[in-house]
Amino acid sequence: MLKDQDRIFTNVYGLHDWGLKGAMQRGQWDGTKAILEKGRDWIIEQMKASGLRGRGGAGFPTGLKWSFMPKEVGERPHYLVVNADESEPGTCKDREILRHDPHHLVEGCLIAGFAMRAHTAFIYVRGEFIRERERLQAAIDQAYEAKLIGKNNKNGWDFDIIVHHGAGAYICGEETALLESLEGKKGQPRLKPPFPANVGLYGCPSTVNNVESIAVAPTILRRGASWFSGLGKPNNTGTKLFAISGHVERPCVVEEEMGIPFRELVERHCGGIRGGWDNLKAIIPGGSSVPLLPASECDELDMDFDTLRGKQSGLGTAAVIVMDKSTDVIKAIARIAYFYKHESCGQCTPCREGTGWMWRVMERMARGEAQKSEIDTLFNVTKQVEGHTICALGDAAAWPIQGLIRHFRPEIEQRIDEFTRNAKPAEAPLAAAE
Amino acid sequence: MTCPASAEEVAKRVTEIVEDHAGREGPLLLILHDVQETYGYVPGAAVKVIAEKLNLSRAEVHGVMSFYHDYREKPAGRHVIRLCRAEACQSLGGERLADHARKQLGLDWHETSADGAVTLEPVFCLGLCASAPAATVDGKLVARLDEDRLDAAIREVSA
Amino acid sequence: MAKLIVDGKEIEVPAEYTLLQACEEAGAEVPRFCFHDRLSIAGNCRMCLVEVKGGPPKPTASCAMSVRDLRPGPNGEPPVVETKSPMVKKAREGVMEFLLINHPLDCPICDQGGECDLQDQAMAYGIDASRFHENKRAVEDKYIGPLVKTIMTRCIHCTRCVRFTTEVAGISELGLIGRGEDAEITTYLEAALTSELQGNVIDLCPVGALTSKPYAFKARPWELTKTESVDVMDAVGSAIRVDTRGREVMRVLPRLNEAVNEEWISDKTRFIFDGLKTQRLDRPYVKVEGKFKAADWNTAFDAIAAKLKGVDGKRIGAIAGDMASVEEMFALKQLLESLGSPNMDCRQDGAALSPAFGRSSYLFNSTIDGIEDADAILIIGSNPRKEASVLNARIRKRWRRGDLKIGVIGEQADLTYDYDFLGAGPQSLADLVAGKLAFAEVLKTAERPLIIVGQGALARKDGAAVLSNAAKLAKAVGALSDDWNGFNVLHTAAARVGGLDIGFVPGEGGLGTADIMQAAGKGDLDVVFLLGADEIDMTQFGDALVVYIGTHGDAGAHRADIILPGAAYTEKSGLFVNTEGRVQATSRAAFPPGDAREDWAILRALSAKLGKTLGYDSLAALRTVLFAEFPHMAELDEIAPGNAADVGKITAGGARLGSDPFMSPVRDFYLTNPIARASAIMAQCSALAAERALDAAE
Repeated sequence: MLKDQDRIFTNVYGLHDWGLKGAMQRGQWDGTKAILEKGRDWIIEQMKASGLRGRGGAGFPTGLKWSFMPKEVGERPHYLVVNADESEPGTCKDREILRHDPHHLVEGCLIAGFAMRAHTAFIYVRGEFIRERERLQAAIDQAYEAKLIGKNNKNGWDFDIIVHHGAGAYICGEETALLESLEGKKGQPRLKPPFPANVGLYGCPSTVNNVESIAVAPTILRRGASWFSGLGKPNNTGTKLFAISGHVERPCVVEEEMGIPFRELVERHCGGIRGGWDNLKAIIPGGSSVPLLPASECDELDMDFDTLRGKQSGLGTAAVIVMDKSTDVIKAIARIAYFYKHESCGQCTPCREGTGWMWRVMERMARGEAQKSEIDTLFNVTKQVEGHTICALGDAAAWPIQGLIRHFRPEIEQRIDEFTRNAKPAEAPLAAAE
Repeated sequence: MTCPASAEEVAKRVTEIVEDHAGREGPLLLILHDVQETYGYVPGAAVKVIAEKLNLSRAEVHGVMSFYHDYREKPAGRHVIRLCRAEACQSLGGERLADHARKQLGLDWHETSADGAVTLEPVFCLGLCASAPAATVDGKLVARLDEDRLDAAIREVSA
Repeated sequence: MAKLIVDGKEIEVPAEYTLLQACEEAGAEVPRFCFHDRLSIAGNCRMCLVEVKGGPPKPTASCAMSVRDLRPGPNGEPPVVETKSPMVKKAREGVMEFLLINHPLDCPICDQGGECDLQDQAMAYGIDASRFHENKRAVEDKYIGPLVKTIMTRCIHCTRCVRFTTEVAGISELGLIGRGEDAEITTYLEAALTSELQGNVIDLCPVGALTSKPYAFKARPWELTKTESVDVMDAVGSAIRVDTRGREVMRVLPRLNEAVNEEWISDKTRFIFDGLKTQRLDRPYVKVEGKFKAADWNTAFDAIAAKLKGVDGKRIGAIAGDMASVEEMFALKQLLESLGSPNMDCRQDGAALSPAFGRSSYLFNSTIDGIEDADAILIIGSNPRKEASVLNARIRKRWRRGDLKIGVIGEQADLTYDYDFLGAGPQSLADLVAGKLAFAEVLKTAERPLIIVGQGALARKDGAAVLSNAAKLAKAVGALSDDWNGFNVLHTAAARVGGLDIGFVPGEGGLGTADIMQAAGKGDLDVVFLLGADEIDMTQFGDALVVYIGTHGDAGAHRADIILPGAAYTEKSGLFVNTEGRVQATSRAAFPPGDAREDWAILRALSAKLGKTLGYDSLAALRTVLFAEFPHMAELDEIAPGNAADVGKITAGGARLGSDPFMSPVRDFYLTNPIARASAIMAQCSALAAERALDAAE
């Protein structure tokens, strides 16, 4: 279990003052100037050495990402863009940072901005996060007032932070769609290459990072890369905010060490599974887009990128949706399929057409109104979507269904059998007409 | 929340809003947010003004509006209840609650009551998964909902 | 250059090539829907997926990836691309299936049938049975005007139409609204598109979502005879294909000509074909006591011969219209000369252009393709959007690339690109010549300045002065060097340059258009030939006998005393020289109606009746004579460039500049010639445009 002194987010529950004074008491904004004075190379080296992997879901090494920015500022300015468009069902970790510990993020923006030669950061906050946006803005205002950021600030790197918010489109959480949305356009993902580090926001070199990735940076740099990399497991280092929802006694958001076993996570922090461990049916370990895992896989399950990947699932955003035996798992996945159909931007063919198709078949399967052969067809369709789209939404729509078929095929078949058994013979068309 | 304004008034106010954002590159979303804040929806007259001022076509502005589901083309009711329909909330009775809300209000999704008091909308994940089921009532978050708490909220806005 | 291996074949291509281009270079066929080489890259259809070895284990959209972005192998081996691997095959089948699940199975009633990319590619990459058991999506059709019909259920969201209208045509009325599977292409207010190039979206649409409204349910592509020809609606000379069934022209499509129209044509070029069927002159007529009486050829010729008998050549005149071919003007010129008449003109509008100063004094010398090399453009007295829509698209194309200043003297119209408005009339030109306007500096500092003089600046009293000032300006800003002739005349009539080339202008002591009309009005001329000339004031001819040789019952035919029915441009082989000086030929796609004959043959027959038999009895023989006198006419699709120094010769000409503002001669784009005025579709478009102009004025 993570020791209290190793926690980065010490006010995740909002028990203390979220504001600048409280944040400083908790050690934030301490020696920021000294960190900047150590230079960009040092910062990026430390970030690389810490082993921090992006907290937005894909797990790309953060330090490496920062190093992709051009080494010189050319004609076009550099931008830091923070992705606070936290919209994945089940995921509710960034909002706790935004409303209870926002100075982690504000300070992180300054440091990351400095490291990538950006004088401006845009934070794209999800439209539904109204209070969070206000709190974040208040924290930024405090930082301006205390001359921690802004022109000629105490830390010696001119820096502005602009808060922007979305308008109800999940796809804007995809980094290039987010850039489009920031530019006032439809949130339709861009083709890559060019990558944002070359052609990003307003055509300028940009880096898009998740809130948590940026927010942990100051603490890593203060306490040293080796402290962070000493936590967790190799290649899956550090601490992580886990968000556990669904059928546990006490759903919560908690900071824990990477690689904590799932059972320990729920039993220590969530009061265990509703109705006891044996009542567990399945979990979706990383936000709605990753394939679910059945209870049988959960006994010995380390919550980290590589372990979950090995189980054909993923850590994603570390938002665990727990489902006990009362859950209609087919219906749950049908629901997720609907979500992705609803949120597809419609730009590219496999996603636009595939998400609707998959959802419709899932809806029938939830009722059992299908042929068993359609299970294979559906699996095949998910494979036709996966990897063929411009952005990862296609994959996100395909994976949950793949997980369901992989682990709960007998349940789907049973549902179909039941439906067939109970089906009333169709009334004669003539009789109906009379 | 809504005030039926004349096309001239809308044009004047929207022009001010557009000018407020003059310094920003690509300010369309911000402008639409502000217009919706002002009128509760984005009136057709506003679309025309915005398109002209930003040198976009109305098709483009409309395209952006129709892409983001937060923007309304028609006025909503005086109160808006948005009920989370996502997975975490469903696992804790969100579906039952949604049926209950629709029955109590006599409305389907995106519908507004005849007296213009309430609009019912679905929303996907308010980020309150850890205190599901959740909803917003006029932008205010309500969590750990059950039938009674929802009824109380409905009574409040229907009054 | 970069090396890569496509399907086992090593090739070398420029690094900026896309994978799709590279694959084609290697001879591999890559299917696509959204990709179009003249539009921006969307990468959304996902049909062009290929496998890049060593990359992520998923296929890559070849249209959106450049060769430069490929990584070489660990030891520097060239990157390997597969277009036929199992992964690619599976990917394409998958995408094709997705495209088809919501596509209606209405091919039997779809006008795209037989020339449908989706149909063709489904044959190549599709599977035979559907696994989709849900209901298909239905989408409401949109009204976007009288030219383009929409059946939106068929749309596959490739967005080619949106990209064309915004990028090439320069209007942003079409857009994609909504998202996901509910996304639709629409105009916001369901209003007609306002572009003169909108018909091109029909060709661009890979499915039957956007089809030709006038052509709807008329024919199947395989029953049409396709004839390659050249358009005569304006002086651009766009390459076209005329599709006929039997005697009837069913539709007109563009052909590729990189130098002229790329692959676009204007709506007038495309949709005028119904005008070829109505108001046609299909037999000779002779006016008897103020009423036309149908006649046979001999009667008509006899009437002319009777009138001409003993008449002094100086009392005969001829005016050639805007769609006359070189051959018929040549024959008419020879006939007139043999009758002793120097009174002829091919400039109905009286534009101040003359072959006397050499070709480069009246050509679009920089060439249309050359527009793309220009780094500053000045437009004088022209609205190229209305006068030469396709050429205007070329200016826009250049403008979109950036670093181009455009100045306009004349009307302040929406040209689909930004420009500096320098003034309305000749005075602004004089100021520019005098270096008083800042734009003079722009032209001077430009390496390849391009000056366009339109007919709106030349067909007026001070036309010669305007022309000489424009030439002066060209000289002063260094637009007349050995390798760049930036002096350009933009013509509006397809016949004009050909007419000037062969000298269909007043001979020694001869009369021009205005003088012919005046002389006829005063009774100084006895006979006037109108070779398809309809755009002049027909009330001016007094009592002269007017012989109208042409195709349509338009203004000229109404005034005529004798009508000789000719052949339209789709009904004859004829040479036309476009505004650049490019010699091109139309081909006969259909036969002229009834007794109508090719115009040169009419003149040849008439000449025999008059005892002045022209020395050729076939078109080929006529051309032999023509080519002997004007060798450049023999070089099809070539431009015999003028001498830049000739432009210097006209700098002295002309009296004082006037003060009236320049007006484009094209007041109504849709009704510029007799065929267009006979077309119901053009009339509809014209009415809509007038309505819009009225709305805008309010």
